[in-house]
Amino acid sequence: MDCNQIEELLCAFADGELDSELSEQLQKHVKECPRCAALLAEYLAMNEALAKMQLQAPDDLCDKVMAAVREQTAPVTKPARGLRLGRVASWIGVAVAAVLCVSVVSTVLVRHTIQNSGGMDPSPSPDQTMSTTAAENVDGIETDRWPVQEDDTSRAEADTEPPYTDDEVTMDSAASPEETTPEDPTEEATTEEATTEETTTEEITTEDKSGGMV
Amino acid sequence: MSEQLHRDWIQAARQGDEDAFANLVKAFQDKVYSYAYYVTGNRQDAEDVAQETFLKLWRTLGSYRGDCAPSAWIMQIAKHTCFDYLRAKSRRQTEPLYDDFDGEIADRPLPDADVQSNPPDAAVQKEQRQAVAKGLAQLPQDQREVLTLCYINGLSYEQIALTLGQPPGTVKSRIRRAKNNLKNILKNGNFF
Repeated sequence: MDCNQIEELLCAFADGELDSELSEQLQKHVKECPRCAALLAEYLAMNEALAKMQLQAPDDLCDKVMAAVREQTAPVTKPARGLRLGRVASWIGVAVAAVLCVSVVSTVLVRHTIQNSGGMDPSPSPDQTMSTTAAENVDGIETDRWPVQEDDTSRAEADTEPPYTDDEVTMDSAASPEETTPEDPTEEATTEEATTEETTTEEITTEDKSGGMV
Repeated sequence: MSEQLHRDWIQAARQGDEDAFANLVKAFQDKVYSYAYYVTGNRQDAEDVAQETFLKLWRTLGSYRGDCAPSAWIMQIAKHTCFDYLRAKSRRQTEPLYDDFDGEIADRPLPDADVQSNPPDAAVQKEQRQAVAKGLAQLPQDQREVLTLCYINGLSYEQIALTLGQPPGTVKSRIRRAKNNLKNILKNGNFF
């Protein structure tokens, strides 16, 4: 190897990073080459100077670290305010999600009841997800699933009227102004609220899944 | 201290042994602090980084697989902590480095037996360290970093490659380049 090749390896040689075979070659060359020997001496001197650059950590660093560690691992007797609020918020989320689910399900059930009782057709519509046995006994199914109301029977006679009218009338009667929240007196608001509630339910559910992981 | 002892402390600390973890902190605090100082450039940042490094170490003890030396793993955590810290502070390259170096080495002198036995040597040592610090300040950050890891922290090329996530060949050539640059700086300042 020539001096240029040796020079590239001298730094690693000074650091003890060469394998034994290469180290022997360099050792032999340095003994015979003053220029490479001088360069090696410079590298070794720099190694020594750099090694003296290590600093001492502050005296209280370890104490500060251990205090922070103990704070992290201490049993939670008085949860931090943020943690307490986080847990409360997650339970509130669960409660709200439950209420919204119940309201959505009940709204769907009410609508389904109205549609079924409003039609009163012995042959079920293709959209209805009734079993074959159930389809043969519409009254029985209606009786078993949803309570038949007197008003429903009278609506069955008005078969020629558009279904939406019945729904609208029924919705207004089922959700009387007294039952809705003061902020949502109108049907449109109720419809929008139902849609919003469905979306909000998903969001809360999603949040709950994450919020529940404390 | 032996690598096996460090591994034993890590294992014990994983089980919640705080004394074992304190031993780890004491074993590596000088190296971590030094690294943080020479990369961030000042004492306060170095202390913040060092503290955060050990807190991260505590939180991630379970992730140590034992496939590298504890020193390389801990310095890897220090490296990531350091650069996250600098990124968060939006540190600019033009900020002066090691402005407080004189205060640093004055407040916490090295426990060097030779220096203590011969006071004139202490002055020479101090002057040399100041010169090297000024030289390091003039190097690019990546070259400062490898010199710190190799000669101040005592990591091997392979361990440095693991710490930095770079090939050993890259580390080797970067160290050589950094040393040559530092050598030229010190020669120009008549300290070499």
